[in-house]
Amino acid sequence: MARERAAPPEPFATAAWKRFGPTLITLLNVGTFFAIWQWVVASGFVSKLFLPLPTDMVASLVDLIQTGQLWTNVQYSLTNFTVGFVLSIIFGIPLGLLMGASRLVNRILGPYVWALYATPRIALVPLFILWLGFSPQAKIIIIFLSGVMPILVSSMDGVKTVDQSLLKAARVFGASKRQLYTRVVLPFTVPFIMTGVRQGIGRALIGLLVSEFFGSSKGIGYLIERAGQQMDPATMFAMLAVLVASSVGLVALMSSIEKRIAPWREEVHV
Amino acid sequence: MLLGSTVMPESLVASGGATATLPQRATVEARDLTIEYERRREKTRLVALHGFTLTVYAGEFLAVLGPSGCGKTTFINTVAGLLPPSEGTITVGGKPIEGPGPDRAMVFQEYALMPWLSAWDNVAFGLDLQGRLKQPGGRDTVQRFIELVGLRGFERSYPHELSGGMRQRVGLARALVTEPQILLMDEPFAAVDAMTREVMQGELERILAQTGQTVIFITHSIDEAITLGDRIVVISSRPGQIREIIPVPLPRPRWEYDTKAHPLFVPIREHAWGLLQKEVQGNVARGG
Ligand SMILES: Nc1ncnc2c1ncn2[C@@H]1O[C@H](COP(=O)(O)OP(=O)(O)OP(=O)(O)O)[C@@H](O)[C@H]1O
Ligand SMILES: [Mg+2]
Repeated sequence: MARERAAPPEPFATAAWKRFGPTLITLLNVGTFFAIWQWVVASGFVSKLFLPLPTDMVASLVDLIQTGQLWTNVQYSLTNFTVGFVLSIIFGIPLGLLMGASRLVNRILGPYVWALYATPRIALVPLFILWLGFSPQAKIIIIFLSGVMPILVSSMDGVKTVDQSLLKAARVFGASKRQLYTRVVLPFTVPFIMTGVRQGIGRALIGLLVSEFFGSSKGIGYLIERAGQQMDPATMFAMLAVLVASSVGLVALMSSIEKRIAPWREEVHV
Repeated sequence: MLLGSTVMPESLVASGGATATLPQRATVEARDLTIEYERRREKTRLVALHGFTLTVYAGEFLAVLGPSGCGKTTFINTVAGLLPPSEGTITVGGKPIEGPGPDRAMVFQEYALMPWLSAWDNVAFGLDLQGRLKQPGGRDTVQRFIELVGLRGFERSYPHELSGGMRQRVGLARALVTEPQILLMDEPFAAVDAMTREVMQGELERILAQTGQTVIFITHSIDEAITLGDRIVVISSRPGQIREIIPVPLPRPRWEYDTKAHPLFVPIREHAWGLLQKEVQGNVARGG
């Protein structure tokens, strides 16, 4: 976005600063954060049982990588997550669009969707474990149910809020019923779907962890939970770091897809 | 520029009917038209137009004035084929209107541009829906109209990157490019500033001089109605009926001179003003 400013000039307006400044600031920022952390724990202010030394954390992580534990568990979680979330998208978008477009479909499916939407999904976890045991299927269903709701509801809202004047314009220019959907309703709904998918990622991640906390023998959630049981905060924090990194990565990936699919959306900076 | 015409007597200005200089072939004909809306929450029906009879002549520029809520938009939507008449008939070229058709196009007050389409794609929107974009020359036609409305260089901009006036040019081009016989315009310049509005009025007249389309143009501005119209229809407050039809015999092309300085301008303006004032007062008195 173009910005017009007369004075004062930026203090370090050199080309090098513009290029590397932001990275440098981030590095310094994060570096200071870990340095303070290290110091707080090393000096004994906080017990190592509550907060590990960042250096121990890194050591744990290296250990997890070397023993191959990290990869097997991450792979297990990632596979379940991917399958569950892809199912969320496959079911969530069309069902949401249909429910938004058709009163009949909304009548029929509405009660189930809203019941499921309103119920905390965690309450259903024991049920799926009862049915499917500690299998990947149980986890995939929990991830799917967690992720599908925001996608479905958002897609439905998108269809319901389609700008009437746009529909009117399309009709005046001779749009058939089919064209009204393909040329107006669907493109209008894309940003809503995107928002739903982004929220769905967060929910599905929660579903993933919950499904693994409840008696699992594999996965990121399992490692975190086991580290807690074993009073091993270094491993726990290492895994949390892995989780944070993957979540941030997923959300960033989503944003870049969004920019590509919906470049017309006005960027708002408040 | 000095005009040789003499001042029309007030009585002639005030009398209804088309002037002799107009082409007299009817295109849109509304006979005893009644349009009602279903009000779901109140469980009543609202009569927007009642006993509405009007003939629009081919090639004329018909300006429509009336108090807010009198049914102007309702009428233009009916002509567009978006609303079926509750009673009475409405025909285009002698055939009853059964829905939208490529012979009619509309320019909307609120632009109604697709936010996900570039200016170029928005202009091409109607042509594409009608399957005419892919025909030979289709794309050239779009480009020609983009240039006609002065949007060259902005083809790839999205609506939110355009000013209000530019958006309305896109809306205008989108309608013109389908080459309709009848152009429906619902307060198209209401949301742009006075200067832009004047420029766009001039451009519209210039474009119409080439295309010779019939225009039904809703406006809240008496000045705009006189500047653009061959006739001005004044509609009564709800339920809308024709209060009076005022011919505007100012010579064309009007972009070449200052219409406001024409000796007929002020008498027509005063006459229209008087009519509208009565309608608005009646409207307010009835609490509508
Ligand atoms: N979809 C609708 N449902 C119910 N009533 C409606 C609907 N659209 C319009 N009306 C009513 O019909 C009447 C005429 O509306 P219309 O929009 O045609 O007025 P208008 O002359 O265009 O007014 P304005 O100058 O303010 O645009 C109004 O009283 C309005 O409340
Ligand atoms: Mg209106």
